[in-house]
Amino acid sequence: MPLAQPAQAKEPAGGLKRIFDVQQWGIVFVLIALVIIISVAAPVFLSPRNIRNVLQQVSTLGILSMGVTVLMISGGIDLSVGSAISTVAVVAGTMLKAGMPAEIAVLAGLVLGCIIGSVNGMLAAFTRAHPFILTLGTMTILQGVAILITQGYPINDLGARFGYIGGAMIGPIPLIVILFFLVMIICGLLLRYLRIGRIAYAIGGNEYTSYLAGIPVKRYKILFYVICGFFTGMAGLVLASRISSAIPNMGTGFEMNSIGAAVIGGIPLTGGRGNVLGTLTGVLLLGIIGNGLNLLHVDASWQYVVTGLVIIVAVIIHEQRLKKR
Amino acid sequence: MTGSPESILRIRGVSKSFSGVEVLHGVDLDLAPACVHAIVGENGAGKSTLIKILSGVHRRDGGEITIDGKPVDVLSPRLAQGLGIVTIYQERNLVPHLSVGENILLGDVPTGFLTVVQWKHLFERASEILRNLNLDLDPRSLVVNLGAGEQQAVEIAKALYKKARIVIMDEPTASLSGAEIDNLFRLIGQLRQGRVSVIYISHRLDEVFQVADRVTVLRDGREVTTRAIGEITKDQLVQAMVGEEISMTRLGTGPEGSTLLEVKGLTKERAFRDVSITLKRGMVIGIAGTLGSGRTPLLRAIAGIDAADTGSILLEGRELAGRRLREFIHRGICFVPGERDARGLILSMSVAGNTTLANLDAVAHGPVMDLPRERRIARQYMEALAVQARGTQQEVQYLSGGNRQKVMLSKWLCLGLEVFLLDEPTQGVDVGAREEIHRIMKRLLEDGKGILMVTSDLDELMNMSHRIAVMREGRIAALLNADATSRQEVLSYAIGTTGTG
Repeated sequence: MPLAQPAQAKEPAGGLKRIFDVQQWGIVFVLIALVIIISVAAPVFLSPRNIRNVLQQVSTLGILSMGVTVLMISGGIDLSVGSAISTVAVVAGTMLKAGMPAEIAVLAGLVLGCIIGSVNGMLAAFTRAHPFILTLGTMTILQGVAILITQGYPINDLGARFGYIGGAMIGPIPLIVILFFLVMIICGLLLRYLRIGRIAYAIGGNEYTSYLAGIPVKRYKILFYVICGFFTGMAGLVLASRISSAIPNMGTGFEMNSIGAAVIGGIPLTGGRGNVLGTLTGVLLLGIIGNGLNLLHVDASWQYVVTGLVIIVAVIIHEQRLKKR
Repeated sequence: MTGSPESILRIRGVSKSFSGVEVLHGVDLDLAPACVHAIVGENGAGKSTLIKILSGVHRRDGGEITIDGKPVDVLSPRLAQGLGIVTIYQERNLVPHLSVGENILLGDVPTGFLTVVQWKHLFERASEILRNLNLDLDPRSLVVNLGAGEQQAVEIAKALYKKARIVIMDEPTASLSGAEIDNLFRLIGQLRQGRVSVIYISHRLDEVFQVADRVTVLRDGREVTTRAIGEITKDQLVQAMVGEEISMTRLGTGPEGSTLLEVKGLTKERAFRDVSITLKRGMVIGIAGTLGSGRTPLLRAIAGIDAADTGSILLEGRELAGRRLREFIHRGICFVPGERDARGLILSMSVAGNTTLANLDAVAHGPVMDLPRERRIARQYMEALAVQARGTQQEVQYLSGGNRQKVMLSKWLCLGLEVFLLDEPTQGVDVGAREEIHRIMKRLLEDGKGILMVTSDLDELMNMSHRIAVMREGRIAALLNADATSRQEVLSYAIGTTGTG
């Protein structure tokens, strides 16, 4: 080409640097520091049993947060995921109690998650209202639905076959922990190597530019809500299986924790950046705070205070890092 | 320091730079009391910068401003108001869901015991002001229910209440109808009678001759001339606005290639009417016109972003009107928007990501991205367009304006399209990048592509077009050959001193 001039350019280094965004290192250091402090104060923290315990505890939140990660990178947000977990759990629980096989109940739970996601997605894509408010509405509706289905009572004893998901061990590792990491890898690959992942970053980065580039923005927006809904459904099933019961308010709080984990991991509310390892850091941070304070015999109420502080500090760190570069 | 001793506002040698580029090079202005003083000039002549300095939005870098003979040091919006300078911007500055009366007295609402608002008192004072202006407005009606002209009247009433002595109006008639304009001029006359001076900024020269007492012409950040309105003709004013005709290397008459794009009778309600344009291969048609003349809406309609009401868009004989945006792109038309950062780029994404955004089919096998191939394509365009960046993975937000512009162009170049619709292609880029963008355009022409370009930059319009379509009030007022016309002719069609569409 006649205009050609050699561009002065070197590709940035590969390896870890490419997996983590630079701005996420701050949070990784916070996590490492926290691990060191807790393990000094309570050496039992690093015992294999406790580590397994922590991972098991964060798995439900982790699976959910990966779906939330994809959605939030695309600029969406879903406050209804907590109530959706409850709804999926009680629907699956009701089916199991009616004598249906566990496989069918699981399948139904996943499909229901996708349906809830598609409703949220269509609301977000076809109206001008902000998804924050729209999903605040569906959150309240689903909470009502979950209570209506069970008349407010928990459904207990969901059966051994269904309980397998939450209880099984693959060698020394619980099945749900493996499930969590599988979900993370799938979402990570999707975001990095699939066209749909690229489009998630594009729409989150600048919806209008994406539209001008010919990307069917509305269709993809719905798809991202469906993906989030699918993993929400999975999280609901995992949670119900682990405790072998479905409680109509069992998902309450998950929406805030999953958004919190994603934000701690570096996804801005406007979308366009972030990745699954950031969210993993966020999930682990939330889990370790809970577990650590527990081991140190700190009153459980403090957990909320500390978690809140960590979210605030994390967001400030991300802001600063972004400004500096 | 000469100047009529009685001027209430005197500006001497005021200069202002933005990020190293000086946009005002020592402007002088004297404003007499009870005088309507118009400031005219092309887009980018420095009018808005000057009024923003006067209203305290921007700080001047040099020069002095005296009000009533007293030098004014630093102006803030608050201080400017304290000195009696009130600016009425194009976008209204009213609180829509409050009443007319509350808006007029905003910030000074009369209150009594326990700060309870004295409504009766408030509305009485408001109606007194409205009466003084001979305005038939109910002070109790909500601003949101008023028309554009009435809202402007409320702004003027507000200015009067604040005891304004200098009222600055920026394109006040832009959104007004004929009757509303007459009413505005009546109000301006009343302000003058009340010894208030008005600085009146407008593109519409007819109005300037109707309402102003004096007129100052700004060009390229300098004051060119100031005259009493009776001492200057419209043609002289246009001549002063465009300046000396500079001899330039122009593109020439244009090629006699085959027809690429044919637009016939394209019409969109409230935007443009009955526009027909024929674009040949290797040709640039520049679209000139003032803001609001319908040029950008036209470009967006031809790009398939907003559908036109009637008319046809034929690309190589194939009808595109009524189809979806994606099909326009697929067939070979792209729109390169003017607001580069807000609309043309994804700032948080890499150079590579932005380059291939519209062309994901080329860098994906089905659903899977081919990242090495994407990097190769991005690198190829970085080199071809001499983009200065750390690499294909650097985020676009860390590039300079000119490099961003090139990345935005790469996005469309790598699709191999036929027609490029450019909206202000070099706005906000430095001289070097501008040259480079013009070279890219010429290369596209050599490859037989066609370009439609909207630009407010007359130099660019004259130098980079074969034909010039001048738009006024939604119609093409004139279609000129670039090598047989002058800046003056273009401008006089654009502001309507010659040829009524």
